[in-house]
Amino acid sequence: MGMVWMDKFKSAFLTSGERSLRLGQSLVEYILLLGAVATFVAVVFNSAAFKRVIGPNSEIFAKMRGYMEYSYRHASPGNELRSDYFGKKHDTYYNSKKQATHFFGPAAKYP
Amino acid sequence: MYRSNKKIVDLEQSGQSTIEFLSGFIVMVSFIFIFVDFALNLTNGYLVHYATFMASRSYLVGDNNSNDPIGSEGHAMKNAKKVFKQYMYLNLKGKLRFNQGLGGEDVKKVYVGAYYQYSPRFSSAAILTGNKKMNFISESFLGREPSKASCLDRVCRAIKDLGGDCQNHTSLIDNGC
Repeated sequence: MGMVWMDKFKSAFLTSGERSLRLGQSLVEYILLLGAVATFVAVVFNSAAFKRVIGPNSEIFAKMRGYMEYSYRHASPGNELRSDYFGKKHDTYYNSKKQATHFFGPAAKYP
Repeated sequence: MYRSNKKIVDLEQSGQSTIEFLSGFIVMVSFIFIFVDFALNLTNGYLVHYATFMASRSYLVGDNNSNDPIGSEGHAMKNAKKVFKQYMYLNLKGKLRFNQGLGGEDVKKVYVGAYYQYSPRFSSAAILTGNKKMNFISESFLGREPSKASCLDRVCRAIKDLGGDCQNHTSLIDNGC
């Protein structure tokens, strides 16, 4: 604690030349560190695992996009837009997983 | 003397935190913008759903008293597009289309109505999420009322079956159906 205080005290009374020398050293160290960090970041950013998470070919955002498209159209969770207007394939009306309509009627025939 | 020197030392070190702050800030703002874009897409989407529904309502009943059973189709679609524009003040560059269900196009009768298709941007942070656009489809299948000409046809056919004809003094109640 005492040493740190002394260093600070001394550095406050440095001549401008001494200060420039120290500044140069820390600048070089900072640039070296920045280079190391940039290399590390580049390696991570270019890795296949990272590209699956974030980036133009991100699988996560592709799934989110698909989910939003489907739920916007059909107001129910799903991922694949496949409905058409020519048969029983419209997911707003027909539940393909359950092979049943979304509409409901009486469980038993009305007498 | 000590204070002024300390100020100089502080100023010399302020660049590092600025660079770190800026690099962190850009990433954080990009993430925030992704979710802001999601929210805007959905609120715009609600407006589109409502405008499509209103257009479908207009298409349901559009009739210009044509003597051709399908002669009102063009008029109904034109009016529906007008209604859609009244509600849709955003320019989403989509297209309002209609399933007419007239027989020739193989569209099931249950899907007769209006639908609007447009492609909003997924997010403005393309570097994180990619540049692909979404495919949003808003549908409202309320159907289509038979035209007056179509109803007149049916009523006349019924009268003819009873031995009369439709040449004179035939009244239709409501649209005749």
